Amino acid sequence: MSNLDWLVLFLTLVSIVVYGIYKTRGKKSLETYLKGNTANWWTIGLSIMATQASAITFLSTPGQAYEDGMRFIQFYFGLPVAMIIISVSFVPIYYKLKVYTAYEYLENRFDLKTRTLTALLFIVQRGLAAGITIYAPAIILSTLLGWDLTWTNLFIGVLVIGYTVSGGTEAVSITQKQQMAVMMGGMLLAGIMVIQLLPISLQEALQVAGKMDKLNVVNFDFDVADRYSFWSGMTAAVFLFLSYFGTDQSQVQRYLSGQTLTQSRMGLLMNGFLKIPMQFLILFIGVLVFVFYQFVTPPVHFNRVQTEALRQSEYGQDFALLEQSYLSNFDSSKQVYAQLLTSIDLDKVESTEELTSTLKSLKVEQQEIREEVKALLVTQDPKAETRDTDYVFMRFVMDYLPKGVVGLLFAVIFAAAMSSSSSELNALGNTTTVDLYKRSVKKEGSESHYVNSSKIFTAFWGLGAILFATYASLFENLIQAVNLLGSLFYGTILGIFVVGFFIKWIKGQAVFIGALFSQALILVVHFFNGEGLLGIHWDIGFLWYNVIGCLAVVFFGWVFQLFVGSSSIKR
Amino acid sequence: MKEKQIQWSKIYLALMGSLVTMITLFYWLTCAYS
Repeated sequence: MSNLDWLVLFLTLVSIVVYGIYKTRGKKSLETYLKGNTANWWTIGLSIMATQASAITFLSTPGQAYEDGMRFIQFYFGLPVAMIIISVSFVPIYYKLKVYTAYEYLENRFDLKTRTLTALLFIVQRGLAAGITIYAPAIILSTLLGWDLTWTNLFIGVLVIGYTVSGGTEAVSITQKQQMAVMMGGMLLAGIMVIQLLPISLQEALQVAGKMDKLNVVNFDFDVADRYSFWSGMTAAVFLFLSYFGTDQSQVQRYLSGQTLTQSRMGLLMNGFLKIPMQFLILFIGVLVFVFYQFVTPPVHFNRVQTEALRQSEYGQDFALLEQSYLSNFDSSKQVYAQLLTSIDLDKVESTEELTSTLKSLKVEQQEIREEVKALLVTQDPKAETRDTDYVFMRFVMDYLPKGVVGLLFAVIFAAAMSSSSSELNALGNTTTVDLYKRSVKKEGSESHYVNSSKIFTAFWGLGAILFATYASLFENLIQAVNLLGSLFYGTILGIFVVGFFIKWIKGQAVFIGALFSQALILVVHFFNGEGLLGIHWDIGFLWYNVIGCLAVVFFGWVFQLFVGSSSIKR
Repeated sequence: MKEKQIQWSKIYLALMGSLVTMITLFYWLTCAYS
């Protein structure tokens, strides 16, 4: 990176942090520290979007579109529906009860143990996820920038802890506004620049992308094993979004920071309007980068550090041969693309189909060469991570975008890492204080005592996240397990809230047992997924766990209330 | 902005309308360039 890029990167990040700390300086009451209560609707909307948009959104999503096309967008189709449901039913209840956390509501409606169980599930899941929110981008950024991984973790973590501890919820919301501006401004600029860099027109680029199955945006075929289809987006994903936005404190905290109920609801609906276009933009940039690399030689593997190490190793000769085959494959396909565009232009249907089929065969060969390179990487270093889709976009940025813009795009990734991480730490600190410490450990403290406790807990979770991120590479299996945790717990947590909001006659004891039964069921469904049990076979996408978990809590809670609950209530 | 002044049902309808419009456009994109 050039000096200008470093300047843009550091100025952007540091000015956001300094602004956040400066704007929220001074002594705060518990109410203002934990809830903020000053945000208007668009601050809330941006804050909700910034919380969900992690660095991986900007690193992986374009790479995903590069490999798999745009079908991922269907995952978000259920989001506007979920925003309406939460706006109508969840938010007014949280406001009416003046809660600090979503879990506080559960004690009001059920009992202390249901509140504590749900808060603990959140803390375990988010506490571990906070480490990965830092680690996942840090490992990619440290490779791209040539930084030490520990220092990259520390750089992201310390900045986030600084303003999150200092200014609480308000600081998180304020900085997320600037971070979202950087993210969207940077991505829009990147999109415009990719279009300018394309050696063909945008219309031709769309034709190339379409023929290579990259514009497969909507798929109406129903298949429960398919994660991304119209049906899974409109059904299972609605449950996931209801759980994430309606019951996960890292999101609930965002709209509880509103000045009024109206501002909070408007903020949620703003997210409903803008989320799909935002994801479309990011995916579309990935597709345009794919088209670009059909006419400009792409690297055989996008992680340059790994390929350079391979080149210098004893396998350098083999790698050079594979690179040569890749180059000759690229030259052939480039010629076919030229013929394809002429054929489309002249409206020759048969020839277009033939050329498309030739291109797809060449793509298969290209993929085979890439797989051979990956195998070589593993032979050279058995621990090597061969997946390179996360590097596609930033490698393009570093190789082809002008000075200054590269720094801005790195700032986008860092800002995204910081925005999602700050929401997590803020929510973890507040939940630990309100739902555990204030409720069950020290009930009679002063306001300033709880504000300081919240600061200490936030810092504790932040340092824990940095520590986890630093040692995460030693526990690859743990990372996968943490990524899975959300899918395993979300359905059950949503089920508890659904019973609370909509099925008034099911009481605390019944919902608690129902939740335990539901969680056991989800674990059975997950561990036997693809194989089945007792002669029953199933193979379902993880999104459906949210539906099963939620409905199972309602069902078991209902049954338990009918047969056992009434007698225990009488006692 | 007071709660009573806002016609929420119209905003919800607009949101669902924008969703339907986006899906229609995406479907057109899928079909037109396949």
